[in-house]
Amino acid sequence: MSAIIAALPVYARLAAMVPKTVLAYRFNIVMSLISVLLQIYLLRVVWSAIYAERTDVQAFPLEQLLTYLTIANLQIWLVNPQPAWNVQQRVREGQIAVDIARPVPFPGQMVAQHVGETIGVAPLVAAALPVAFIAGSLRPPASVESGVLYLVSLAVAFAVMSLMGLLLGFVAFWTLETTGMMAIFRFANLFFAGGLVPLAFFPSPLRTVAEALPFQTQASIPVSLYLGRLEGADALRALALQLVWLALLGVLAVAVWRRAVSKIVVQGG
Amino acid sequence: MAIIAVRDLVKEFRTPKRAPGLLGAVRTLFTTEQRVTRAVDGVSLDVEEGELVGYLGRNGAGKSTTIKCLTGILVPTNGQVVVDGVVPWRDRQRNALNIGVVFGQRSQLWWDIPLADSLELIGRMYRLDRPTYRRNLETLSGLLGLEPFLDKPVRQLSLGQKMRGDLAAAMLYEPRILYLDEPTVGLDVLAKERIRSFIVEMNRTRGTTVLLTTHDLKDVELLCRRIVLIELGRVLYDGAVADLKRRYAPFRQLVITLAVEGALVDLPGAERVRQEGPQAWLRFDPERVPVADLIVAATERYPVRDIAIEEPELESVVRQIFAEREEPR
Amino acid sequence: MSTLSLYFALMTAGLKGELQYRLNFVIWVAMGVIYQITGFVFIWVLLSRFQQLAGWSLGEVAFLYGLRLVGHGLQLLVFGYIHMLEIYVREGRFDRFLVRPVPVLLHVVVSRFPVGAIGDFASGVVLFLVANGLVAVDWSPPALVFAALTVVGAALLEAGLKLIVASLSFRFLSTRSLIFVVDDVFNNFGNYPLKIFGGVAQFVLTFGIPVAFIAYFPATVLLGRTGELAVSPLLAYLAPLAGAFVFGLALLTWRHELPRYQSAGH
Repeated sequence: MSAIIAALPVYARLAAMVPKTVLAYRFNIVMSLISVLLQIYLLRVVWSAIYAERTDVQAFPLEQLLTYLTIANLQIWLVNPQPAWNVQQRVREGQIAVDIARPVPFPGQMVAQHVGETIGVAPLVAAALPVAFIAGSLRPPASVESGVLYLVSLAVAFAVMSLMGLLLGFVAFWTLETTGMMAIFRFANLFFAGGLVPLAFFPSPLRTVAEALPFQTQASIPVSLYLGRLEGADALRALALQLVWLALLGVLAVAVWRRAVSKIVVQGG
Repeated sequence: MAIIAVRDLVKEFRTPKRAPGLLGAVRTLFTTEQRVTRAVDGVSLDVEEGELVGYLGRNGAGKSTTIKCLTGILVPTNGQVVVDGVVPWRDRQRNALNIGVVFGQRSQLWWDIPLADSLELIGRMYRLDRPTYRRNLETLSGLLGLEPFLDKPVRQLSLGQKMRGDLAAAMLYEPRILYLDEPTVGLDVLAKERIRSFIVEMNRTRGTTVLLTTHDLKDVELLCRRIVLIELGRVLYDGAVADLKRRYAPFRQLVITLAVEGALVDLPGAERVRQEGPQAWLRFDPERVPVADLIVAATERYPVRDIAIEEPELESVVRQIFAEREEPR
Repeated sequence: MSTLSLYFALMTAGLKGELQYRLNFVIWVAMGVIYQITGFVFIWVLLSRFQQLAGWSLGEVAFLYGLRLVGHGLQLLVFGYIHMLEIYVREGRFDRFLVRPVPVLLHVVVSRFPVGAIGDFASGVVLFLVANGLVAVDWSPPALVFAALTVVGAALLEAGLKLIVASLSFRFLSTRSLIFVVDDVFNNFGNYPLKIFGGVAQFVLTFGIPVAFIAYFPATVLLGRTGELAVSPLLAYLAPLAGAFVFGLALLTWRHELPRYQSAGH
């Protein structure tokens, strides 16, 4: 732990290097953001049609639902398991051996890179907000308290996604063929985080499954806090759940990393 | 009628001018300023059937661009190209049937299937009937020694084996013209030898016209009788290799080894360039002083143990030509 | 005709190559299936809770989805790798295609076998058959022919649009991510009855990016719902022609842009 703190300046510099690479890939990034905005629009249209002339959905008013979906999708796009791809790329290109030999722990390097990338891309999201407002819907948080809780929850969500990204990336140490797994993960993440259908509308068996998975911490919990759908004791319980997942994934990540490193050392990369 | 006829070939490339930095990137979105480079600037060339021509130039001189126009990969900005009666970029498929192309380090073979399967596919693509295909495959396999690795997927082959496979693929359908783009790059001496003798064989027995671009001057020296030098998109020299040497490096060297050390060798009509112990190097102009005279004079005057005649190296000749170009005008 | 046999020979070679990596092959096919199924899960969850979408039952939406998916799978099987064009150009592998006695476009498309497409196509067929059990469609011979034409037309339309974007890469170098966006639009918006969209959006999705012609219009014909169309039902009956038209346009674009190829460096 102290090693990590000592390495913070290095991490910061690593993170700062990233926005330049983001600029180089800006076309691709903008295109994928446009994809998300289109998806938000589609969700708005479909849900509006579903809600037409319906009286049994007061529990989740349309405007609130649309704001939920808009923020959730933007968030899922921004806070993603990017380390998974980064780790996989380094393993595939053989740079991993060099990375591990550095004085700074490799997982930390990946997280630092993730932070940098997210910060680098954040301005794009900010610029896209007006479009998102038109494509879907945007409302301010239910209250100042909700807003604050949201930000805290968002930070935890980022940490959780970072860890999940690392874990997915570590799989690359055992198998080179990871594209399929990533595709499934992306959909599972989107679906079970409530990005397409809010968890509240899941049929019971599916909902039980969703609530047992970490994906809900990604968007469902933070955005529910934002909208004030979770308040008081419920809110704290939700945050606690996020933290539990954070701890679990942290422990898992450390354990898997130790196995991975020994594998490299034994095999020579 | 030349089989390859090139008249005033011009090829310009347009690249958008990019300004550095973030502001520059934004500006590039709005302006359409372009930089125009003339890679080929008025090249004219005739190649008769059955010739073996070396096409030489430094990186960026325009030689790959010329070849790409000849093979139909690029469409020229100006000028005419006719290859065996076909305009390459207009009649791409007809042109393809006439030519074989081997790119130095980019194999045309399919990666994951055995070499034999690749060759069969090529046979199909070029519409060879079975008997012809089988006959040609046998001949080429024998000439290039493909037998041992015909059943291996191409990704498992060494560079030399891949090159041999590519040559077989290129010659399988007996094209009238063979374009070779740096075919010996990265190969060891033995492999180079093998490739060179194959090219000579094809040229000799089948009358295949060969256009060879290369950096390796040994290739040119051993294979080509005619050489075309290109620089800055223009033809610098187009003629026989021998003439090139004679014009730019008219001297030969006589290397005399004495049986007994001691004397400094001097011969009329020759200039002693160097002497190390019993070995002397003398420079002379073969146009003015016949070699025979020198040898007779040497053996008369000195106890000669060995005599050798050295030609000027094409490499130094070419280097000299390019050096001349660098001089301030 | 010899072009066709050459096409099959080249595809078989590609397939053979892919089969070398047996586990990979299975994984990719499975991925294709899973990817499409996960796409459908959204609609399933939605409609199991809400029963109908703009008057379309789950069965009818599934029918539309399945119909589109079959066309999409066909497009992927035949044309799946057109997005590789940009990569070939960047890696210097495209030159080779220009010196072969094979139409360049054919060569690019056939250069690899899109294994995943088998999964996409298969799941489309399955979904369509299942959906058929949930709706009442009169499968008269004309209806069957129309459905077949729809599938082909859908494939041509998607392929055509991808081709237009790919052709532009000769001029603009990097259009691959644009291809994926186009793909996305089709994959997402093509599955829904168009009437849920407002007037402007409907217009854009009909005459802008012609998503409507892929499966929605034909589905309305087969399900007898042409009454709900904002445009003349005639357009729905002629839907497959749109695919032919777009593909023809795409071929012209390709032919026009190919001479601009600059063949970077060595």
